[in-house]
Amino acid sequence: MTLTGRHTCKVTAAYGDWRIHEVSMGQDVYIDLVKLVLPKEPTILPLDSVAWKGKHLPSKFTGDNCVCCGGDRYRDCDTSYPGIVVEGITNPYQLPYRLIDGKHRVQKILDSGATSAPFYLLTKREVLMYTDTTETDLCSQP
Amino acid sequence: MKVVPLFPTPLGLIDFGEVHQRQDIELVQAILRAYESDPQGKQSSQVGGWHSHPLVEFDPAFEELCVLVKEAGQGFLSHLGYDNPVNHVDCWANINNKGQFNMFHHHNGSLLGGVYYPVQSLSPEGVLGFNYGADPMKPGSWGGHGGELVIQSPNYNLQGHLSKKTPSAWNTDHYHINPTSGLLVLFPAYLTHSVMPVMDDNTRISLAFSFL
Repeated sequence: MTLTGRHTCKVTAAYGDWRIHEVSMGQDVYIDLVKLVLPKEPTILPLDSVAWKGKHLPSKFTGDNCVCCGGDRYRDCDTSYPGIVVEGITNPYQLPYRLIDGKHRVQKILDSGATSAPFYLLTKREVLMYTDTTETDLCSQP
Repeated sequence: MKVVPLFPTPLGLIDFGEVHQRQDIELVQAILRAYESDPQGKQSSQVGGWHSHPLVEFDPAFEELCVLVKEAGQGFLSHLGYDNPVNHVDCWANINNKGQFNMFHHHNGSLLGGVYYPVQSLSPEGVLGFNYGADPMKPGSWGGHGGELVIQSPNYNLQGHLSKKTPSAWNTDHYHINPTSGLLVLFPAYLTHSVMPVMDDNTRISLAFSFL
């Protein structure tokens, strides 16, 4: 699987405080997905130990009614690709794992009735290497 | 005939919506904790109610809200054609019970003023009342519900000799804004405003801001 793009970590009305406090309390922190080196094998984790954007929201704001995409990305996503989680990093739910990629997939898995799922598990140190507070800085990294 | 709005008064309404309810509940809980820790509060525009000291550092819920409020304020200023950077948002809470109100005042010296309603009201039994998405605006004179934010026209009392035949934006002296869950109201710092006395047994809870 090839990862593309980057995720913004910020405060939003819909999802709450998803800033990475270890990096910045400012609004613009990016995780550069392209540069992440994923482990060869995913790890099975219980979903109740994973924080993802919108985890607390009722169904009228998730799934087919997703507030970020109107349900398009939820319907189109392929759950055979594991999400990416980071262990021991700030999240609004104070859970052990923070999802940094794959919230529509995780929601779809949860809605199917599953209580656990495979995830690529990264350490905080591995991810913080690929965060920055400006898009320019990220692009200039080797 | 062409009528041109020469010097219109801007009012920003930003609806965080029901999707913000989890954070709104946390805000109310944090406000009540702030009240318990500082029941004397600060004397300001309130008559009988509680006005907190600055809250941004009291609880992470306030800091998180102020990030959104700061962003909204910056956008509002930009929309109006100003390029002042918002460096800081001062935030405090107001709690008013039956008969309590806030006198007319302004936020001059700030870039903007603002108010946010995490809830419509809090019942005597401790039940939070939510009214996300309700129409908050009521032009003209007071409707009698209590707890509304009253915005006064900068031209107030300058046209009192004119007879109003048809209500319009041109001849309205006040707008009332009903407490509406998830609603952020932004206005120029010069705009004088007050809060009507609460008329029922519910508690009115709001957060106010000055943009610096």
